[in-house]
Amino acid sequence: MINFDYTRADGVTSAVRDRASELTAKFIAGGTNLIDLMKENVERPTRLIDINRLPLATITETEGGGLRLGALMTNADTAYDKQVSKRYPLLSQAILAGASAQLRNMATDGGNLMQRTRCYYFYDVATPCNKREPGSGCSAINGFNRIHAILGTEAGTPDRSIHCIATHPSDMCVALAALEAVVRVTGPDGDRTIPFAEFHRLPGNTPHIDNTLKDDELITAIDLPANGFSKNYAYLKLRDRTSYAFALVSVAAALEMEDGRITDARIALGG
Amino acid sequence: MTQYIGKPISRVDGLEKVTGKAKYAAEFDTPDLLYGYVVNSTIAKGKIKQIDATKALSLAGVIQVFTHENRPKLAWFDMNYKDQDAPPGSPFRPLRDAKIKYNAQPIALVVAETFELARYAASLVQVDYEEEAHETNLQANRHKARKPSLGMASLLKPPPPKPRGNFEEAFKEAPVQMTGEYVHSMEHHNPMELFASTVVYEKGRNKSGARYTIYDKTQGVTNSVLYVSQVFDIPFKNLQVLSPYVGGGFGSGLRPQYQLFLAVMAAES
Repeated sequence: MINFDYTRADGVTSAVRDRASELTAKFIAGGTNLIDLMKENVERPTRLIDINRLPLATITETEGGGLRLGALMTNADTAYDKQVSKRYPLLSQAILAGASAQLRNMATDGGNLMQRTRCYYFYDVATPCNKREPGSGCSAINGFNRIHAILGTEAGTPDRSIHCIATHPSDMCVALAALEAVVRVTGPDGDRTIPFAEFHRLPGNTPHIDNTLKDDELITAIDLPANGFSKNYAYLKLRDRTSYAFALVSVAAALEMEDGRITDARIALGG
Repeated sequence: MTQYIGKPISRVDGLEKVTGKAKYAAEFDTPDLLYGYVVNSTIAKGKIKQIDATKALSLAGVIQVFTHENRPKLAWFDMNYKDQDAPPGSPFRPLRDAKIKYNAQPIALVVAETFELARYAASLVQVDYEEEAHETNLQANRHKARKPSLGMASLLKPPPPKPRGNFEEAFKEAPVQMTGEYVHSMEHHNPMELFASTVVYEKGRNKSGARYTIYDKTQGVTNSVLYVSQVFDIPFKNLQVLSPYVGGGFGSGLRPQYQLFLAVMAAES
């Protein structure tokens, strides 16, 4: 871990401004992944901007009849929230399949989206890794890659070689993809929304870029559409042990049924 | 035994352990305590061509960086490094020389005023290796397997009981036979208590009078006492090894680990 400055943001605008003026800074909320990465020298932020005091730990109704999850809601409070567990049980189920009770108590919803891969080589600074150090090579392709990706690893044309086979480790995000959630972000130029399926990106030729959030933007909330598929849903997670392990494969499935016929279906794959 | 089956029984130290009151080897704070952080090799086989600790040593609060080049003189014979539970063969001797025998082998110890500083300084130690080809796939190398010789442990431990019956004959005559090969997955020790040693060193009137109180993560304090005594030539009466709570071990805490060696070496220096 390198020495870093620490400041506490008192508002979304000032948090974004602070980040924009120092792009090597990082926001910190629960810190369940970032601190580990800093200890291993994988992340080397010059400053941590603590956003825990921002008023983003709420769940409110949206105009469209859905729910807005504030970015600072913890994973545990979200999963056990009465409205969420009743209207979006798929999301609750997926969240509770992840990590451990202690981690879910600390980890926030915004942070869940921003967590980084658990590829062993990404964490081991002694090994080459294109996600950590672009152009250095991928150790996982010919290494231990049981937890790695099956789909979406090819780089685009003209270079079709594979640069990275790391996965995003979240369970929550698989359910959010199935539910077609929307990520709300704030940057120096104001607010914008990102459809969930466009938030995380495939590795392609630039595996070091995990998502489409800009360096100076902050996630403020995640919007859940009105339909929570609360009748017919399942989150299936296959892993080496049934607790505190990342998915080898996971599936979030949700169906809308009418008279025994499927009228709408959502399937998202993870792990 | 039957009175216990099917009934929950509290461990005598259970409450202390789950509430964090049980003190483990790394938690015995003493005045002027210094902290060590180990630099591990990043290759599996070869040797260290050069190890440069200049950057680490230039930080205020970093006391010393021990390597095979500057470590104190220690016991010469392999025998001194064999503990009570040592397997056969030449024992591993931390910081002995430039040779790398396995990946993540301890190759340097950074000593500093805080743990965080020691850890940061350790990241600045630059190592230049001469790498050799390695074989780490046990399955692929099974044809090279040989029967191990008897180790120290075979002398100190009671022999296994004599076999009863005649397996060969019974199997040959069995009406149903099944032969198969089974491979199980990798299993790791994951004790709650991390491997750590805290050494409280009190100067004596002369070298032979110095006292060592050592908090070690071990399942066998006598094994640690013997090892430290043999390697560092410290009389038993000046040594005390304490492990009031064993935070899990599953056998991984039976033998003195390298952090015990490094902590005693640093304390003595």
